[in-house]
Order: sequence, then structure tokens, then C-alpha cells
Amino acid sequence: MNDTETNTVAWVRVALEHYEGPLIRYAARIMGDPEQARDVVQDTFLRLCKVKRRQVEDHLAPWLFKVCRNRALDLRRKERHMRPLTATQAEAYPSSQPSPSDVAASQEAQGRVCQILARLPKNQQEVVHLKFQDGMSYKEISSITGLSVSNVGFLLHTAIKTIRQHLQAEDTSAQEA
Amino acid sequence: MKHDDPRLTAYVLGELDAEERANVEALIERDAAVREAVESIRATADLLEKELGAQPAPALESQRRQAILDAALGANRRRLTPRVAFAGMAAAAVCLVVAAASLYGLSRTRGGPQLAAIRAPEGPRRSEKRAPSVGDVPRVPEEVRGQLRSLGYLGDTSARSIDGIEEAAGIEEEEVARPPVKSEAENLRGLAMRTRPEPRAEADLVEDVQEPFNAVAAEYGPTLSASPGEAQVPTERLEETAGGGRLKARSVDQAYLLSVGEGEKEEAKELISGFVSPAVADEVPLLGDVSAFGYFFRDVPAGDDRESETIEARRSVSEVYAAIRENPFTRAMDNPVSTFAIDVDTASYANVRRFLSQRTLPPRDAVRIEELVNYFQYDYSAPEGGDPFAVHVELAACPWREQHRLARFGLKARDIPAEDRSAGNLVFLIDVSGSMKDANKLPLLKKAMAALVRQLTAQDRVTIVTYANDSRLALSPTPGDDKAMLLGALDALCAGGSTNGAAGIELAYDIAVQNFIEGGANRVILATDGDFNVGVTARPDLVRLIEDEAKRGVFLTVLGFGTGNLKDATLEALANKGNGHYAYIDTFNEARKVLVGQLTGTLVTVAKDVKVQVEFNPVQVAAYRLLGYENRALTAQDFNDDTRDAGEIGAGHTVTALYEIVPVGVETPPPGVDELKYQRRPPAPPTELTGSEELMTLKLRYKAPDADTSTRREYPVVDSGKGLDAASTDFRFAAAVAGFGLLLRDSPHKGQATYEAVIDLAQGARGEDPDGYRAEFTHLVRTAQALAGR
Repeated sequence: MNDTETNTVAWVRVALEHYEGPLIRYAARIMGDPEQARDVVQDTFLRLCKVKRRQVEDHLAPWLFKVCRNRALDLRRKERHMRPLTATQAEAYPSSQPSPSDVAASQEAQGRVCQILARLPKNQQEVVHLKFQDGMSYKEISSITGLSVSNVGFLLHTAIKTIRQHLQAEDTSAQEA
Repeated sequence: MKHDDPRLTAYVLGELDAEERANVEALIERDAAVREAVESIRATADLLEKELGAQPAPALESQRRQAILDAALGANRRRLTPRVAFAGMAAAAVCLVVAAASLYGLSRTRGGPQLAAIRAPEGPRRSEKRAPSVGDVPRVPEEVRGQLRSLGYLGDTSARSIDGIEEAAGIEEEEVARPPVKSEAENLRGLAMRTRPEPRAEADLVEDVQEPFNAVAAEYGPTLSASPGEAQVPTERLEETAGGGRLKARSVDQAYLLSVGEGEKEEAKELISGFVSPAVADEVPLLGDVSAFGYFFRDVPAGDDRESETIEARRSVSEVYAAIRENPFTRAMDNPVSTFAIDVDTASYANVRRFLSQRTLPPRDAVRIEELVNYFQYDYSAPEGGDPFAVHVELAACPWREQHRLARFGLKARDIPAEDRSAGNLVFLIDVSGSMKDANKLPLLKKAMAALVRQLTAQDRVTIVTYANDSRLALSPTPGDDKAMLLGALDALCAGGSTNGAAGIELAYDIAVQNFIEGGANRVILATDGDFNVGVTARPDLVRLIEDEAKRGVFLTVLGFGTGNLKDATLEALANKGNGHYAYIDTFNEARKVLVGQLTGTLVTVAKDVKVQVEFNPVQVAAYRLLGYENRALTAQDFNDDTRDAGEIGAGHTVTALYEIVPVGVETPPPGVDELKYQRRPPAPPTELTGSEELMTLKLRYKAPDADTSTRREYPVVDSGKGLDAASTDFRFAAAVAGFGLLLRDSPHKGQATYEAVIDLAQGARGEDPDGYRAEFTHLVRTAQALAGR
């Protein structure tokens, strides 16, 4: 095994270790299914093995998230197309939200902010997660989602405002009670 | 500007350019409503970051990761072009840089729990706080780098690479401008993390990047001056043990450990003073075990093609393996007797497999040849009559040195059908500290225990003690047929908190003694990812407890889980003290093999203190060498000393030992044997010596599980001169496994062994292989071959 080979394997491994978790989390929010999310993430990394390192290494994180997102949306579209009968079910659990069992499992861990967040429109949820969970900049979020930078800023601003208002309302009602 | 302007959010999140930022700041000065809005946005943003950051990041299953890494290797095979131009140092540098680039990304994303040593538990994530460019990084003083290097945080290679990075930065400015900073900072950050008593506020973290060295010094100081009793947080660093005045600095993640022997105080202080002020270092009482220290001096192999090892070495910083000094060839004339205790541990094989499945060659000292060989089932026939085991000897040509002979001793213990076995009193002592959360640890253990529970009957008792911050009785002694209760208790186990194993083991042994089943299998089964032993090794009284209870019939089984924190040497030593077994568990199959498949073997000992002594006949044998069993060597006198502890053999177990033998008349002196200066030996010793044609005699001593005196057996062996081809399937397979071990260890005694030859031999000796273990072996050898590039 020569230098380059060692390097790439090491590189992919490090990338894997650092991003598999955040990517699975991200894909699971889109797909609503942790298992399918893992499929998507595996595909994402297989893609990574195929591209030239040089092309992606200075923007590895947004690249991975973007590929992951596209793949997840693709798959979700196909699934819906193939199984029209389950469409109602799928609608019953908006796909950007975790599955019921996931919700049950993480309910305790979730604070009130997350609960409010879950009630926001999906596009707001997504940018909030990318920003606060995955540490992406406006520009990176824009490149991942295809939204314009100012749109990202607007969505984040609105989301934060809404969350803030809900928190204040809850506090007030708690005090009154 | 109104107070509902998206720019206010952008301002808080650091997304504005200098000019706009100035505008907003001016506005904040002037307008109270704006100020209030900004505060409120900031508070909400902090909350979001805190809650969202706390959500767990799941990991991929190992098969998926393997598929990806295979693809990475494959992709590379296909195109090896321009980057090869980056030869030598620069290439090394680039590799590290790239790794660091990903690290940089990670630190912004709050890494998932599966990250190992390179990862810092938390990092600066706010994107407005970019790491500074190369220019404004303070250089870490050379003497500190030296300290870090000697502590293993910067191996030689990595140290050079860090220097190299700066060169590379010059060559490829654009590509590496950001990451190299991180690389060095990350190292130091990692250190800072390891020495920090509690997670701190975000803002401080960001500063660390800019002043890594100061951060280390500043942080370590308060830590050391903190009272040890306050260290009960998940990232505890300090702990006072019962001995009083002892200090350990450790972390759940990294097990960074300073625990130093009395005689090494000065040396240790010198090292510590690299991180703290001399005044603080002086206050540190240093006592305890120095062996753990040795690891940090481990050399990272030098050479430009070892970048991944550098990364790997740092990743595995807390995996401690006792150095193995391979048995040399011994002249039969000088020392005709070889004595050792049997060992049925197989942990090393699973551990080697883990390394290889991660596309890394295992560290040499993680490779124990006897454990590799004993991992496999050999079809030795069972003993007849009342004997606890049968002995099988086979001799044939040595595959890696044709003129030599390879002798294989196989012991097969009596089988006890599951329904006939005696009752089990099983006390599980389970580490549920935060580090056990990973899918390959507690969840795996729970699955395997559920499978075990299905095999239990009404006569068995199961107790579960857990330990994290404190120990807890998770399941009081419960009959084995109360499946609902047992499975329910298993289901309720979850990981969280820091590790304090000491109290747990006392409780576990208390219960085991209270529920002692006369004539039954009384066992404490410790399942941990390794943090445990830090508490135990520093407390000799606990080791004594384990030893004492073993004498009274409560044995210890140790199951090692996970990666990155595994104290291989200590876990095995503990199991040995407790007359027990040590198994490393990396997959569900392995867990099932150990807990269920070997249930009768692991739980029912048919003979204890089994010692082997081989006497070689100098008329036939010029020199011999025992493969493996280095940590099981005994003196010739120990053989007849019944107070001397040795290995146990469980029902149905097989134990295999291999000797490489240099027959008299073979010219090439084996390595390691110098010609004597003052004696000249005749080419062949006079046959009058004994006149015997026997090659050697195998002597065995063992005790019944409840006996104090041993039984002795003797088995003379004559060499029929068989070639390798004529040897049995099992012989050839065991030889192949041993050859693999020699290669992985890069042993001086590997002779003409090659991966290719090992594969050939193993493939021709697959036999029935009902579980596919032998097929898997061939696959592993191929992986190792690819990694070794041979």
C-alpha cells in the first residue's frame, strides 16, 4: 500500500467518524426512518470515495450534507411513488419529523425548545438544525439546501423569533398558573 | 432598522461583514429595543445550540463502514496519479492536513459519541469564530512539544508532520491554509480536554484554538488544585483512592492517565510540569502503578508511509498492550525443560480482527499468537473414562522453516452437555458509564445476555450489578427460568455517567458469595470497555479480593468491549487473577460464541491450575521455541509447586500449544542463539546420553476444580518425520494461524512465512468449518496482506 492509498483510506475513515452521526441524524429527519437514513449515509460516503479529494476537501461538510440531502429526497420521492397506498400514512407523520418510536425514545432528552421547534415549518426546522446542530454558516446552508443566503437568514430569523415568542408565552402562562 | 430585522439574527450568529456589524453595534448602543432584541436572540440561539447539540448522533453499523472503507481502498487502487508526486514528507503532511480538515469540520458539528482519541469532546462550533490563519497561531514552545511527544500525543512522525505541514502550507496555500492550524491546536486541545475537570462555556473553547498552549496550562492548573472528591462528573480527571494521597488524571473518553510509581516521582513531576506550574506539580502526590505510563513512550514507527499509523496511534492512545517479548530459541542441551500455564483466552484474535476491519494493522503487542491459535475449534477427540481432558500430539515439518519441526499439543477437555452441567450462580457486573453507550458495547452485551438467558434453567441464578457513578443492584438474584424478569432487567439497562468500578466489584462479590452454589459454577462476569481497571489496578486490595475469592471458588470472567479505551493488559491480568477468562467482544457473533456457545465451557471449569512442562531430548533436539504464551511462562520449579496459580480449562474447551523445534543436525543456527565462546559442542551429542529415540516428553499437572493437590500425567513423543502435507487438517490450520501471528508481529522468527503461504495453508485446511470462522480467517489474512502491501 502506498502513501496515496493510505491517505485516502485514512481520510475517508476520519470523515466517516466525524460526519456519520450528524449525517444520519440529518437524513433521519428527512426520511423519518433511521434505517433508511443509514442507507442514505452509506451511499453518501460511497460517493465520497469516488470523487477526487481535492474537489471536496475544502468544503467537505457542506458537500456531504448536500449529497446526503439530495439522496434522501430522491429516495423519499421514489418511495412515495412506488407505494401510493401508504401515502396517507406518510402524511400522518411529516417526514421531517422523527418516527413515533424515535419521538418516544428521545422525548425525555428533548427540551422545550426542541418541542417548539418541531411545530415550525419544515424548511425552518431544517435550517435551524443545520445552523445550531451542525454548525453550518448561512453560506454553507445555502449551498446545501439551494436556498439563497438571504432566504436562509430570513428563515433562521423567523424561526428564532417564533421560538422566542413561544418560550415567553409559556413562561407567562406558567407564572399565571 | 427595526428590532425585527433578520440582520440582528445574522449579527448574533456572526454572519455580518465588518461594516454591517459596525452599523448594528452602533444601533445597539443607541436603541434599547434593539439591544433587548439582540439579547433575546442570543439567549434563544444559545438554548437551541445547547438542546440540539445534546441530541445523540447515531453511528453506522460496522458492515456499512467496512463497505465504505473497502470502496475507499478500491477507489484508490484505480487511480493513483498526481498526488503521488507529493512524495515523502510533503505527502505525509498533506495526509495529516486532510485529516485535520475533517477534524475542523467535526469540531463545528459536535462529534458523535463514536469518535476516538483525535476527537475533542467538544469544540468551537460557531461559524463566526473561524480558526485563525497560519500567521497568527502562536508557535508552541519546542520544549512543550517535546513533552507532548514523549507523552505520545505527538509521535515522532506526527511531530515531523506538523513541521511538514508548515512546509506544505507554503506549497499549497489555498488547500491547507486553515487546517494546519487546527492540527496542532487539535492536539493541544485534545490534551486540554483530557485534563479538564468539567465542560466549560462555549466562548472559552473558542479561545483555546487561538491560544492552545495557554489553554492547556491554564486549565490544568485549576484541575490539579481541585479537590479530588469533586471529580465525580462524566469527565472526571482526579480521584483519590483508598490508599490516600494518590492521584490519577483520567478521562472517560481518553483515559489519559498519570499514575506513577513511588520511585518515578521525580520523572513524573518533570513531565507534569510541562503542563502545570512547578508549584502545582509539587503538590501532586504520585504513587501507584507505573506500567500504564510505558505506553506513552511507545514509538510511532517512523517512515513516510506511516501517516495512517500516526493517526491510528493517537486514536488508540488509551489502548494499552503489555509488551510481548517473544520466546527465543533455547538450546535443549542448556535448558531441556520448558514450562508454561495453559491459556484458553482468545481475546487477541477478536481484537486483531477489529483492527483489520478498520483497515489498520494491529499494534504488534496486541497480537498474542497463542490466543490467535486457540480462537479456533480443533477436532480433538474427547477424553475417555474419568479424565478431565485428553492430550493429542502431532509433529510435522514447520511451514515457515522447512528444516525445522513443528510440534502441536492439543488438550481437549471433557464435554458436559448443557443439561448435565451444574447450576450457575452468575453475577454480572456491568459498566454502564457513558462510554458504554456505543452500539458495539452495552447494546451488544444486552443482546448477547438475552441469548444467554434463554439457555438458563431454574437451577441457575442471575444477578446484575451495574456501576457508573455508583454501583447499583439492577437485578437481585433471580432464577434462570424467570425469563420475563431477566429480560426486563436487561432491557432497562442504560449507559450514562462516569465510572467508579471499585464499589461495584465489592458488591458483585458479596452477592456471589451470599448465593454461592456448592459444586456449581460461581462467577462474577465483568463487562466493561476498560475504564474499570483504572480504579482496580490502583487498589491492590481489590486485586487481592479477586484472588481470594477465586481460591474460595468464585471465578472472574472479563468481557472487554469497544475500542479506544480498552486496557487489554489489565483486563487480562484481572481475569487471570480471578482464575477466569478474558474475552474481547466486538460483534454479536463473538458475544454469542463466548456467552452462549461456550456457556458450559466458560461456566464450568473441569480442571484448574493446568501446567504444561515439556522436556526435550538433547539427542534429538538442538533447540526449541514455544510460540506465544509469553505471559504464561513458568519456571521449571513452578511445575511441581501446587501453590503456584496457572490456567483453567472449561468443559469442552480445546487448548493448543505449538513448539518450533530445531532437530539435531540442522546447520543453520536459529536466530538468537550465539555460539558459545568457551565450549565447543560436538555436532551431535553422544547418544550414550540417554539412548532414547524420544523427541520429548509432555508432562501435565492439573487440579480438579475443588482440589488443592495436583495430578501429574506424562506423554512421551516420538517424531515419525512426517511432512507438512501429511499432517492433519487441524495441524495445518493451527500452523497457518501461528504463521499469521508471526507476520503480524513481524517476528524475528517468522522465517520464510509469507501472507500468501499462510493463505494457501489455511485454505487447504479449512475442513468442515461449520461456523465459517476459518473462512473468515483467510479473509482477514488477505486484508492484512493488502495493508502490509505484500
